[in-house]
Amino acid sequence: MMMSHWIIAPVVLPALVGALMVITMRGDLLLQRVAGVASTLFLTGIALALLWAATVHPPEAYFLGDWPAPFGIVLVLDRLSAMMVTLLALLALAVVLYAIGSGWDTKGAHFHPLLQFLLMGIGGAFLTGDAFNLFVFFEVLLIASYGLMVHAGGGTRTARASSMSRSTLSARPCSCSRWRWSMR
Amino acid sequence: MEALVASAIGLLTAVGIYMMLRLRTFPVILGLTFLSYGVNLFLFTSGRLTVNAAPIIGRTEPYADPLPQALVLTAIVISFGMTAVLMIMAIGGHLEAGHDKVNMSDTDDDTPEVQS
Amino acid sequence: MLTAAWLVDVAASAVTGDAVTVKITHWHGLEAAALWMSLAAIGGGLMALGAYPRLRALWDATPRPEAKAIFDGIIEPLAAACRRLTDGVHNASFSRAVTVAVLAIAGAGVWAFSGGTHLAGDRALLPVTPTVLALWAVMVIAALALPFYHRDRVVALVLTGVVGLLIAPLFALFSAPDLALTQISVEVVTILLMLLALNFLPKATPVESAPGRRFGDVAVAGIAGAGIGWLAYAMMTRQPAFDPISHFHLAQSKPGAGGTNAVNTIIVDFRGYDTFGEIIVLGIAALVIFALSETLLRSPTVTRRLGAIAPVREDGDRHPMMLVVATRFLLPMAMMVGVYIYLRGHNLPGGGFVAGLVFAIAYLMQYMASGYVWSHARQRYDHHALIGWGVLVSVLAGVGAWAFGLPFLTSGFEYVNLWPLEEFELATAAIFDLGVFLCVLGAVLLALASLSRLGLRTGEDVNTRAFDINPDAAQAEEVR
Repeated sequence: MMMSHWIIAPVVLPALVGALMVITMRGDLLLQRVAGVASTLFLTGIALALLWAATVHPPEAYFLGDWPAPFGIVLVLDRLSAMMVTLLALLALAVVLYAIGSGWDTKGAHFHPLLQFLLMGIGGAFLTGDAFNLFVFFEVLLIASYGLMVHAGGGTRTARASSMSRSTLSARPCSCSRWRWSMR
Repeated sequence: MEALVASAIGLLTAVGIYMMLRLRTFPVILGLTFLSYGVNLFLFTSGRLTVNAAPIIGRTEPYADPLPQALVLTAIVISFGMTAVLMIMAIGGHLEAGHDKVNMSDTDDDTPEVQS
Repeated sequence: MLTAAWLVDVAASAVTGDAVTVKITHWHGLEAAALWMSLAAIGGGLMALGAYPRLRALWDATPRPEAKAIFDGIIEPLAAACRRLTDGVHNASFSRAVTVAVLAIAGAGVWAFSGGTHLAGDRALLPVTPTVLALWAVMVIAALALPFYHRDRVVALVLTGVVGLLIAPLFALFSAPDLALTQISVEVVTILLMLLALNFLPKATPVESAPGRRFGDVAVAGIAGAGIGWLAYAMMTRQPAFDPISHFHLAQSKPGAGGTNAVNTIIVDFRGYDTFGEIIVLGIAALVIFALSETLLRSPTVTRRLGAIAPVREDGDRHPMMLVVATRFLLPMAMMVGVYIYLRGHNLPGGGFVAGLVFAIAYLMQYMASGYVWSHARQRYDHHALIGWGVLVSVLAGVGAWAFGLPFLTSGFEYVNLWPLEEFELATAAIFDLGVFLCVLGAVLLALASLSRLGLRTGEDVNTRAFDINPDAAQAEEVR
């Protein structure tokens, strides 16, 4: 069937683009922007194709590493996960275009790779069929979102930045200890 | 032996929580480190304690449960990353605000320049 | 043929399985009931149309429920109640949030425990050995000392290091050599990071909370510690409720995944996708640290405060010659150990995580001995690229399986005979482990280098030579 390996594409594609951005496009914002938009557009295409596949086919499992289900990790594509991935891709497209248009991506280092890794985390969390793996991808999306949250936190106005970094700091140990308690 | 390990887990957690209740960022991060020691040990013990049973195939016949070990191994490495991120946030907060208090008070939010 | 009877025949025959012939007629005559019913319906419709304006006015005049008003009427009070609750519970005090969370979790635990029945633990206990007793005693002393001596932050750091390093032999004694290796190397890196961070933070914690409040904190911490310790004891003295699934991993480790170290085969093969996510978390953490340090360096307030940090000189020799020479000899040896640990990881304790940390420590020793600027100028590759390559290599190791029609991250292995060597194994899992290695190495180095970059803006002068004494100048002095 056509979608046999495509189910993992919403995870692999952003990871690949994020890694390539970090290796080859550091300091070249234009290239990062082009790659970011291209990746998100491609992701939207994949998501729509997955949505179509999930509507016409019954739910499908993908056994990572070719191991049977409770021992390895399994991805599941059903209509809900496909719809959530599509929603993610469309929102991401809006976000990346807005970030470029408003110049927010110039205000700190590594905006575009962090955004790609965030997309990877959210996509992985939607597609996984394994509880522990869900928490792993929650970690990915949480740490990337924290990075984007404090992105360019300082510099503009000390008052806002300091209160923001302090409130983030207050939130952080709480949430990360909560992960530790809940997930491991 | 189980009682010793269990009491160590309890003590590490208690010290971690106590330090997290201090009012400055550095002790809070130390507390979080202690808490992660305790939690890592706790999760490790969910495979039950065994001696001379390393899960290396072909050595001794009873093997320790490798699954909690694998999960705790990544948890140890990740907790380093978490500590590092918290550290830079603590440094950033200290340098931006001029103090390293954890709690936000409503009064000093509008007057960030306490002293330089 | 004027009617659609032929079509109905085909469809009906296909469904029922028998040949069906229907007869369709357009005019059934005046006596058919259907005709009069149709006429009655048309007449009724015309009457309703005539009365429409009056009916419409009646409908408009009738009071009826408005969905939006109902919705707003329910949502608004709920939202207001939530705001009141949030404002009441959350007063921007982190300590209070932690206290509430700890007590709530403890309360839930007590409630769950008292709500069910339980049997006494029947699992055979291990006898206490003097080694473990000694480790336990030192750990307890160090941990208990922390609350009393934590105001001097360097002392607090030393105590943390003691506890962290003692956990490594505990892991080793309880059959987890991989965890022992990881714990010991992570602990070294963590303490280095915290020491570095202390450059930019106050060196002492002031006394702020009243004794009564401290007593309350001790009570909260005691409840949490007693709860988790008791839970751990209850768990360890009982058999698992379900048979652990790791029998499969142990049985398949050698024949299926091609390695005898079951922990490593789980990390790089059975649950390699989890590890793939975890190394990316580590990479993101390092990128976030770099981005934040970059932002901090741009802020004028921060650079002003950094410049105001006075250099603390405790002795004249910042980069002692002995240390510099010793670490330079150690660098290739540490790298050799790292490569060894990486190569044997699939079959014996080790692997990409530990190897990456060993390499990182070898580099960090150079940074410590010779200073950041001097060492960094001699590093040919970029830390960001290391992280990127790590992710890239692990992605390629996963995608490679597609060429063989297998799912992402499926590993393969082959035993190779190459003459003077013994038979050895080549596994694709080693490529994935290489990605882990690169990502861990890059993330640790980038995190610590970002902190060091902040240090360049402090009042301390930067060294351009590896050590403070210039041997050439000293020799020239002697000759003269």
